[in-house]
Amino acid sequence: MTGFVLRRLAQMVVVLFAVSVLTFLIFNVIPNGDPASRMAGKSPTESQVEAIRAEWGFDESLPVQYVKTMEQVLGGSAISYFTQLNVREEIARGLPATLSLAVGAAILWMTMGIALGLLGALRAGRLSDRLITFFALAGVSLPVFWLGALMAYYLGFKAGWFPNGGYVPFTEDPLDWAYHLVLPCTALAILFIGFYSRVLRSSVLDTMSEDFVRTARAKGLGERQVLVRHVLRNSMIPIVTLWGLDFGAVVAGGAILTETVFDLQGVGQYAAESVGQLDVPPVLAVTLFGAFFIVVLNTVVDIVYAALDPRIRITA
Amino acid sequence: MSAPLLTVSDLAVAFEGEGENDVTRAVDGVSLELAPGEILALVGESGCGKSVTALSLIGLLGAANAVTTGSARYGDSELIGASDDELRRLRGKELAMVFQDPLSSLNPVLRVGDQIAEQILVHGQASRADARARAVELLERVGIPRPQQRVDSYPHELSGGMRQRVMIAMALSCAPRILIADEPTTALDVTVQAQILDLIRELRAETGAGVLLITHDFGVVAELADRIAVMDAGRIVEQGTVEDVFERPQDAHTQRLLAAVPRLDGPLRERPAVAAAGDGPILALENLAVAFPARGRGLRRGGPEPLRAVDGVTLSIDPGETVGLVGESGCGKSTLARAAVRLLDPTRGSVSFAGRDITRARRRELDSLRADLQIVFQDPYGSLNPRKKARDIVGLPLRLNGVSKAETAKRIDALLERVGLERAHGDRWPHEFSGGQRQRIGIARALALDPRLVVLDEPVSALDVSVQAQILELLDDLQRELGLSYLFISHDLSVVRQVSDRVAVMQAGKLVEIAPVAELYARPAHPYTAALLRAVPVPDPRRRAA
Amino acid sequence: MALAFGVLFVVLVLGALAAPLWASSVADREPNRTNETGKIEVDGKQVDVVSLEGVPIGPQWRGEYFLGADANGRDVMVRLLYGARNSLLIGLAAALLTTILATIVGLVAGYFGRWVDAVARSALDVIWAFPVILLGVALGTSLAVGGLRIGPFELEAGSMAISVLVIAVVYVPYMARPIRGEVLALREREFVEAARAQGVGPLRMMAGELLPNLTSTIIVFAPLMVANAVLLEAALSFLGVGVVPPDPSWGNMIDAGVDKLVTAPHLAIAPGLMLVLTVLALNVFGDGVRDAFDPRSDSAWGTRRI
Repeated sequence: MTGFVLRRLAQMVVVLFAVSVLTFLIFNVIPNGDPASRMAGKSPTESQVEAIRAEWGFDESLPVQYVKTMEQVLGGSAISYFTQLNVREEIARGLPATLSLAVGAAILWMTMGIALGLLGALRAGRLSDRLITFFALAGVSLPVFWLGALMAYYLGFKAGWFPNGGYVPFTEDPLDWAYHLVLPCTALAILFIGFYSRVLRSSVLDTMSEDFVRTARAKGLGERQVLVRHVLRNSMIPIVTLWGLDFGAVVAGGAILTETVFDLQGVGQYAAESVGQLDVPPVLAVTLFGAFFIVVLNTVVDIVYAALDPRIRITA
Repeated sequence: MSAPLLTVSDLAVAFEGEGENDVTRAVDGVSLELAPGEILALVGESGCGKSVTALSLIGLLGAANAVTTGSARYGDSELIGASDDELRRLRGKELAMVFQDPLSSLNPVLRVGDQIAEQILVHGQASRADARARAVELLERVGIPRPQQRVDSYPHELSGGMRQRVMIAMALSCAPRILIADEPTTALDVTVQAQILDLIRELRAETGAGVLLITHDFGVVAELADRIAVMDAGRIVEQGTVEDVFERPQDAHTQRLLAAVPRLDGPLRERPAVAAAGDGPILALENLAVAFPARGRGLRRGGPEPLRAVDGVTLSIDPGETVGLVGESGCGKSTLARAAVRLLDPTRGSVSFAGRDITRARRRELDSLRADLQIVFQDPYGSLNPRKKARDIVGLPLRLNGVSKAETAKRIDALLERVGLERAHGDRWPHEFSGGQRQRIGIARALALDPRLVVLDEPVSALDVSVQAQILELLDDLQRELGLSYLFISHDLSVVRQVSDRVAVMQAGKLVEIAPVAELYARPAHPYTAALLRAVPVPDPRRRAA
Repeated sequence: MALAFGVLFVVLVLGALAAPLWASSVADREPNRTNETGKIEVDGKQVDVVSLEGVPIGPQWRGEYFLGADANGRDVMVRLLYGARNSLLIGLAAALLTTILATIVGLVAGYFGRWVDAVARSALDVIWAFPVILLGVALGTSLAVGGLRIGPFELEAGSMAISVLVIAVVYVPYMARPIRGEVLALREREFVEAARAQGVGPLRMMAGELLPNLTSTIIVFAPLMVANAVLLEAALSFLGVGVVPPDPSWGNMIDAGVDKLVTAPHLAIAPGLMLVLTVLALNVFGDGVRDAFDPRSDSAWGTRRI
């Protein structure tokens, strides 16, 4: 097992490097035009543009540019030339909201997704299964920004049942914090519930047709015992990896749309606002940190996966 | 005369399809009896309904559209139509089952000890602490070395034979009165098979359980069974003691099957007259070695040992000759086959075809070779591209060699007919053919460019015994007509004996013995060969061990 | 049943194609021409298309301003249909590009194996490390001002081609991975060995032997890819880095509409509903396609054979 962990960690470092290079390429290499004036904002002076050029190294060779860019972003000195605020600080400020949203939504989508998926699998082919599948498909078809906006408006603003936006820090008022998160977490979770319930349904059905499930029945186990001890355990395995990917994606800025619609002032919204201004440094930073987080999280998930499924340790 | 353990009367299983009249009768009125301590073999070819019969007895068919009628009485209970609760009480405790493929039949993420203990605990046979101890005892009883450690292994860490022993241990854990074994040794090597059959025999003697043995292998039946029931198309066509049925088969189907079974004491072939004798061997392998780099734990210095699949084999085949190559799984015979036709690169040694050294030949040179040196594969289901019609499959080598479309079409028709198919078959897809027909297509493909040597890698192993006989006959005819040489690879010693002139035996990548067929089988020189021959189940109940 | 949804999608596509027809003959309005100060007749009275407080009229349910007007006085229905053209065009083009790229990458990586595969897999992993929306946003943002330039290949900023390219690239790993997996499995099958024994070279092998066996996987993934592409396009336009106003896209229409939910909800609801219907139709159809190709899976729609 330790061999596997070491190998995986080594892979992780390589991927992190590759990710940083790709991010660098996306922002500083492939676009047309002068990167310094792109970063500089709406009406920069000549000297401002020059200063930016020097700081980020746009005049120099690509490898040097890369190093300087990484220094700026990872070193924490990058600022947005639009808002004049330090990018890393802004990201740190938005992190609690993003994490709250991610964790809340994750709990919701896992419980509901697994429950519905299991139900659908057990009643495969019957009306309840068809309904669940249809709603699952509807769930993945709803654009979260539209759904969120409508929820905020009709359930929040009009009906007044929930606040229609904003984030209250946990330290300020836990109850209000939770109250403000209900709508956004639900909106975000609906998409994933749809997806996860179908994945689990498929996984459970596949597992149930495996030979070892037949053996379990031949041993005299009842259906419920077969389900819990053999089917669930084996069919959950793919869900674990998926969950890692999705949770990471949400934290890393994948919730950009939900946060914007509900005005949660999280990392994603920070990115969205910067996007609207075409303000490069924040988007670059969020992308970089986000991708890093995902890579690290995936490595952890892979290691957990190997702990669950002993066959993996040999082949990876 | 004790009362029978199990009485099956008029059992029928029908699978309902989409339409109203779309009903498949997998089992169509089966009646049999199993006495205590008796081994009853249910035999037949694939699709005859023997597995369905066994599974339906304990309600494990698992198909929503199956309709089971008839009766199966075990003691006071009626199994057919029994409630889930009733069946659950009996399964694993009174009636236990062993399945064919132990790798897929064991849960891959649970330790084997836990899986055995689970069965004990479910039936309340012991406390949690005792169950584990019992599991270790059982592993020891079925002959697994170091049971104290093995009890914590995962299924994939054990060999095929050991996994099957675990399955048997599991089945026996609650002292069942009836053991149902569905092709328990089909997936195992012949020496391991012999051991498992011995084990079943011992356990029967010890526990007095009745065994319902499902198999297609008449050798296994002769070795193990007391009585035999032959099935065909869902019905039992003949039933009786093993001696009676083998010596005086009454039913035509049974007679056909028994006649088709290759036997170690059957007739040897007559070597066909060879056209160009004395020209030297057509294929010569000299000290051939093929090694694969092992999957690395790359951080260690020096690296792990490479896997020597073929380790210094010297073998030659004369024109018009059939050389048989036998060995158990993993011995390297398939790797050797591929190296011989240069699908793989040898690491050492040489391969010569008709005097020309082709060991280091590159693609260009090999292309001209393809016409002369061909290969037929084992798996009729995997060796044909499912998205291509039969004529395209057969015609590919012709097209690749620049033969015109018109000429190709003519040759395809001729080839199909030569292998016993019809011209119209050319327009069908692989899934529309039976296993035997697909093998014929594979043979036609190999013959397309008039080869001189054909390597046959387990060409009949995946076929039913009656189809097998037909294909072997076809291969023999073709050899006589076209003057072909064959390298015939198989794990089945009886088949190899029937078709070869000389036989080579491989073990762990090395050739341990090579001799003319009569000599090898009568007086094996090497102990491994002797062990293999001893292990082969002989389809003659008079000659069985014990 | 799934087939019905497939038909629905086709209807939507046809509707989108018919956009100019509607615009000219039925509504007599152009999608981008503003009309803030215009007036139309409602129940015999002259009403401002956009009121003095900035509230546009709601659905009229007849030819002109069938679904009402937006804040600039433009006909929502017309923009909806033109937006459909843009969104669907980008979605379909991106999905097609993804399919082609993913198939090539999957085939090459799976067939050649070893270092080629390692390189391809690492590249896919790296793209995979970015959440889809973030990558789309990143690419969209960086290309928004000056466009794209890689060597001699140039794309103008704000052109739809950039959207297509961004969306296509982002989804390549989604499709390339399963295709690569299939190719790896197929490669072990004996018919591939048999083809090699006949002397079939790599190109012919990939195109002639392997590709025909991949068609079912590709067909199953295709509707899902289109659905994802359309959704991503809408999200990018919503954020401002997809289709740039004044050209309509369902995404940017929702963006504009969300601000006016209080006074003119139809502005956000109409494009959103269209988006949901389209994507839902694609998803249900895709699900049906998948069930048809995989008879083993217990279908929620009942067991049907194609």
